[in-house]
Amino acid sequence: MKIEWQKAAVGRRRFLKGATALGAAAVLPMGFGNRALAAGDNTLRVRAYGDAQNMDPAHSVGVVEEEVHASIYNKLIQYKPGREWDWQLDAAGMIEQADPTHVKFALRDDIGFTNGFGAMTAEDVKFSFERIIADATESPNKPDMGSLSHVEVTGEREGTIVLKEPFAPLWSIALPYITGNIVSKAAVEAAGGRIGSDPVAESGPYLRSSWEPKSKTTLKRNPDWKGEAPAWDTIEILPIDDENTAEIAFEAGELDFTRVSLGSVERYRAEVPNGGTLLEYPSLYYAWLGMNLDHPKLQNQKLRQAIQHAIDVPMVLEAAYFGAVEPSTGIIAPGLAGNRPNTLVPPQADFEKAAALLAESGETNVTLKLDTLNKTTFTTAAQVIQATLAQIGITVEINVLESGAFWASGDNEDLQLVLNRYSMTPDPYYATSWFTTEQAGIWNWERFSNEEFDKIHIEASQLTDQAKRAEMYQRAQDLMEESGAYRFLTHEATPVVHSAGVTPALRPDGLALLRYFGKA
Amino acid sequence: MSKSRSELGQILHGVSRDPLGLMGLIIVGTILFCAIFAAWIVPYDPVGMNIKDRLQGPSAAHLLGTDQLGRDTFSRVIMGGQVALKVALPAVFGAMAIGLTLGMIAGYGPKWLDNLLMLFFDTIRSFPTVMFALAVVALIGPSLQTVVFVVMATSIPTYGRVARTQTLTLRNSEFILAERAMGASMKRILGVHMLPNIIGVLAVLAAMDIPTVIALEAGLSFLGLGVKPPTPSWGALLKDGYSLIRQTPWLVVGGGLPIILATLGFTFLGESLRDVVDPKLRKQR
Repeated sequence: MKIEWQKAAVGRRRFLKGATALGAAAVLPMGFGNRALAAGDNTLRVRAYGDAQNMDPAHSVGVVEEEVHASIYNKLIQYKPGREWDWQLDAAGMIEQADPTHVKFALRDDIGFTNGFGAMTAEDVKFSFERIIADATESPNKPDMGSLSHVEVTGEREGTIVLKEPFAPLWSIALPYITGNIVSKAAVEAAGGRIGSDPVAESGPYLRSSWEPKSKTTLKRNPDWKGEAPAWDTIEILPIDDENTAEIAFEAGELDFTRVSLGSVERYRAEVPNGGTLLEYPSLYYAWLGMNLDHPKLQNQKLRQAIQHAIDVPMVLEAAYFGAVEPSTGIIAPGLAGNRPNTLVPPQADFEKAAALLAESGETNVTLKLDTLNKTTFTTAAQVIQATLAQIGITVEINVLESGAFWASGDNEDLQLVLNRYSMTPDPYYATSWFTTEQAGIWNWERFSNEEFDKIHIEASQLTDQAKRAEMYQRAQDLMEESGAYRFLTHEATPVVHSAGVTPALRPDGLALLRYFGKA
Repeated sequence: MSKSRSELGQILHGVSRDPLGLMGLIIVGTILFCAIFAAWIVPYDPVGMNIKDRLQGPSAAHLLGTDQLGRDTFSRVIMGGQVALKVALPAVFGAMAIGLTLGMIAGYGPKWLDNLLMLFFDTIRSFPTVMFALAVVALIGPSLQTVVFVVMATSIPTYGRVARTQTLTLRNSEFILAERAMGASMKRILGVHMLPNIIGVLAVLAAMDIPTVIALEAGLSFLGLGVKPPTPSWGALLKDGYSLIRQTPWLVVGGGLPIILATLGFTFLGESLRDVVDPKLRKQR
């Protein structure tokens, strides 16, 4: 059998025609595919940096899932949108602190669960909260519940939250955040005690109508919702990890709301495409340079102080964060109790003082290793620190690690310097909890150990006097800085953009409260 | 000596007669020239920061603009070439030397040694290169030496297998049998008679491997796991450029273009070399 090869019928003209058609097809979506808020569309399209995979608040891994949970479940109280941290009633019609260890609540009578699981009762609240602290649940969010003992049910919709000891973060973390979501006892028990990727019963103003893994989560208005009607019929949450991609999608009209990169802030300050608006919010995150106090090379306090004084924080922020963020004064951000007005070591470098401290330390030919995550922001900051420490004669070798290796550094005894960044919730208790002696070698990578600090961490969490709490947390950060193990850098920032037809509802740290998003 | 120079001349002449070969020769020659004389070519200190001048576009002062720390991108591209070749050349030629030696021993030695070495080659080849690289970097930390080691270790089996096959083909040829009958030592047979017949094929393979190694080094640096900052590298330039592409596209151009050119150049050169070294192939094409 003979096979005859024929010349493909693709001449120059045909090729040009095809290429032109392909080019036109590629361009079309930019001009005509502007889907976000198209005429008559009642769909809000927002970007999340990850995919919300788990509908169980007990096993929620953070903000991404909480954005969905907060829309499809109810809590006794929710964060209030605005620039200052506050809460507002949600499922609770009444809630009050009866005494330091007892909180009484009464539920509204108009909230019900889907799938025929009936009205929300105090039993559901008891089940939801006690489920979080039960060992059998193995909830990673158990610490957020602090000293919760149990919930007493005193009526169909009334109950009392009982604490083992006073716990101030109850009002700022436990109730309005992840652990505060109330699930249906009957529905969860019918599902065998666990909620997976599908909610077993919902009660919020929105229902999760579909989930396309890694592609889209769709929320639809709950037809049985009796509270204030949400503004949008549909909310589409698109998981987009990369901020550059999210910005391009926003500018193409594919998104109505997204966080943007700090490097783009200057451009958006000049103009936001499509008549959109840039909003700049502070962030609660905190980034710092840590020094391992247990490492033989860093035993000398004068050396550590020399390093503190030689790092020029404004220069680091200018290079790594494009000058779009402010220097921090510790681990507690502005707006929270305990934020310090100033650091003990000024943010600007003082090379003379640093050199003098280094001379006093008696250390010579100092060579240190600086571990950092393989993200451009951190490698850039590390290079500035390397350059500034070189000015006083300290040689720094940058050790870039991928995220798996980096986040396993807690028990790395050879760790010397580390450029680090932790997330945060709106209560100072959450920040100090990682730096106690108990956490040394786990999340306390500097192995900082101070009895007074440990005592403050416990006592301040039990105080309801905010002024006194603030004073104690400020002292705790003084102790951290005095140890010479920390050079605080920044709390970063949360710049977001939204399209013209949207009125966003955001927490004071710029995170979205989707159920409250309105129309302009 | 003059004979070998004449052979090299013939090869170069053969390559330069092929348009793609000539293009490859020019590109590779330019990359080598820039890498060798990088210190004299770069207009600025490639690690010298000037944050005030960061993320500038191309200008007469900065041909490819500046990066996020105000460093001259052109200078970093040129020095990045030096880093790429510092990884690629020792890794490829090191792997070739070890693979050649082990492959010839496997092909000429006793059966049990052949089996043992083949098992060794197959064991190494069973590791995916990038995963192996990530594991080694996680264990001993990123550095130029780590990248060279990883590339060398994963490339040895390729050269070893080719060398073994060539040796097996040659070991029963008449001129080798004659040498053995005259009592020539194994060292002489392998070094004087077999090596010149094998080295050409391996040289072609090496030329084709260099862009792969450059891409691997760039890939590791793109993941932030290649050479340590502030050492310039094409992969690191690409990584920073990707993060900052909305601010300036020139870092991506600066990091990407040399990788494309190096890949094209070494591939063209390698293919042309193959044709020249093995004229039978040329006839078949």
